[in-house]
Amino acid sequence: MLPDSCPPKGRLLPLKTRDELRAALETIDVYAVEVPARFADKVLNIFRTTYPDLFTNNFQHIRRVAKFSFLPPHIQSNFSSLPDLWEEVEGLSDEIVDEDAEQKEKKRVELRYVITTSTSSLPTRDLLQLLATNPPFTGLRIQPQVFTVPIPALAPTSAEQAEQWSREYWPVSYRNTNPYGPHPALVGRNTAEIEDAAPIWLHLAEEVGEQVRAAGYGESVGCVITDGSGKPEELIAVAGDCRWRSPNGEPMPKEASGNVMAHCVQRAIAMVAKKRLRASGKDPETETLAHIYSDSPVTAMEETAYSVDNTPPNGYLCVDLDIYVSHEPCIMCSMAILHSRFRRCIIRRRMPLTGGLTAETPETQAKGDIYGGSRPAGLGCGMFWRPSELNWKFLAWELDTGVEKEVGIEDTLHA
Amino acid sequence: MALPRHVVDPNGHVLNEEERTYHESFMREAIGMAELALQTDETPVGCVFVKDGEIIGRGMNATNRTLNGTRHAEFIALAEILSKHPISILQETDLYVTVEPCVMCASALRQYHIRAVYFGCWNDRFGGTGGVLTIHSDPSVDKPYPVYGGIFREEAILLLRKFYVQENEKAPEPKQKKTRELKTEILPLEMVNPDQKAKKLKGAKKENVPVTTTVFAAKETVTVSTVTSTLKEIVAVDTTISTAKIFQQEKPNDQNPGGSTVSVALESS
Ligand SMILES: [Zn+2]
Ligand SMILES: [Zn+2]
Repeated sequence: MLPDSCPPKGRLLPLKTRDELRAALETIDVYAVEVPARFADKVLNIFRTTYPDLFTNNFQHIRRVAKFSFLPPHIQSNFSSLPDLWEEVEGLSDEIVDEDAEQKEKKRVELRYVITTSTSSLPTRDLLQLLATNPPFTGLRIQPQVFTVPIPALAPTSAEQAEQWSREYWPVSYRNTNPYGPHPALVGRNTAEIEDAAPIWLHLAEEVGEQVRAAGYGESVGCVITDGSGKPEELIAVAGDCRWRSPNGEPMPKEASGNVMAHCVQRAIAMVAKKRLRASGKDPETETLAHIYSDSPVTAMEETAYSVDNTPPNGYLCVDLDIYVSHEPCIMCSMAILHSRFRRCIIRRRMPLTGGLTAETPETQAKGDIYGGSRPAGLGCGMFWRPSELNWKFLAWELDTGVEKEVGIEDTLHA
Repeated sequence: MALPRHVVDPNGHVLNEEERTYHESFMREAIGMAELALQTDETPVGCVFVKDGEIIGRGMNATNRTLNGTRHAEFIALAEILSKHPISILQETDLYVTVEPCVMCASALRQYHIRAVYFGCWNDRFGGTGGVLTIHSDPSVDKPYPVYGGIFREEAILLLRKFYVQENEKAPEPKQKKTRELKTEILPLEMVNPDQKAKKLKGAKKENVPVTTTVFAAKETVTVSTVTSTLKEIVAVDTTISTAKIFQQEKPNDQNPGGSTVSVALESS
């Protein structure tokens, strides 16, 4: 199948990290106490002084004092709020005893819901007792109302997520930070840097994939390596898949997985290495069995990129380089990108059954896509950003064109 | 180093001398390749691929020479094999490698449908068969393969230490030199709850794993200082090497309905 005749239009979506997605799944049950607005801070203070150890910073992303009207509808309906009862109680106080009905209406009791602590950290009866022996409940016949609500355990990583959580759980605030992935400002800067050219590079990647497929060398999968660190951006390497290319350079029968080491990402990385050898005055053709990896150009497009001397002689692996891939690379190729220290990776399409970059799993997507849009569940490897486990990390995006185009290859294929 | 070793079958039967010697003889060949790598200033990781008792491919790390961070020992040996044999031969072939295959190689081996993997020491930095990830057994479109670790583990670690000392000696900064002394003592293995290790390394429990490799491992940090040279970045392993002893078990599952269990326990004392 032919790729689009012109570069795809769409926007770049940063891939979510594993930790982000997992953080989004965790909720914690907390106590919400109903009090008139003017007592909200007092109740919180009493709690803080009584249980200083329980007053942690874990709820910084949560509005600890929330208005009834700001709560999600399903929470509102669960709260058997007692405005009338409070009205009565408040009405007995000296302040409003002489006021007429109209003024009294204006002074209608505003209720607040105060988050105290997690249900696992304190028995309900202890909390009830503390409330009953302190204002506003002291000496009142009104019983403290304590509700259990689930809240997101960790801070949101985007404004959209904060909005969604505020609708689903409890009013949540978003600070422009992301403890579970690259900082939003960094992502924003990099997105702006690459968004104009990305569709063009991806288009080129698709084209070379189509060329190797037509030649019988491989699947319709391709990639492009660029140096985006300077202006103008340099095209460093172009490579298509060569898994069906035999050691003597001919198309071979399509059996099993073919020559796995000739996936386009592997080939492109090898071409960068050879260009570096050439730039440093060494012979790039010393590997006697290099042809097994198909690490020399097999199409005119590949040859054009390969023949230009534009790699700095002191460069190291693929540091500072970007890689654009027509399909989400398999785990082998994802790790090759890590080993090669790439700076950024942009994919055109996901490969949910074999891809190594994306982090969504059936579990993380069970409640629907928490970020909106429609990101399918995959293997959940999220290899681009696992800094505590793997030796390198890089920024990654997918191109969202809004329309699901036919993939053009088997979904069980390793790209 | 002569150590008492027990290779045990599913019923706890200790395998005979001959069977044990079989695996060790190929690992010795892999160590020979790693030694060759060391002599040429490459990270000392070596491997051999074996079919029907014959070595059909040999490899050693070549990332420095090629300026290509993916030229691991396994890839070098695979190229040799594919230059002479059809790809399908790998389905009947076992790999012996001195250091646990990295995530990349572990995935490549699975896509090539390798029969089994035997390795020396663990790779805590980017091991793909238990050290960090479990690519050999995770849910995938390809058939899982069994792995056995800990064969000549001490020798594999010692080679890596020698490499770091050697690289340090070349490092220009004199302050690096005080830590370059070669440590030859290797800590004995310790039993660790495999679940704890799995959690620590992966941060999450694994589900639907068709082949379970149970790892009894002790983490050992090699204290030889880090190498200042940027070349160090290319290497396939870090100075932190986890030492390991493995029980390998296959549980019944969709892809392996009958289930079978093979255990390999290598003990040092
Ligand atoms: Zn691949
Ligand atoms: Zn490897």
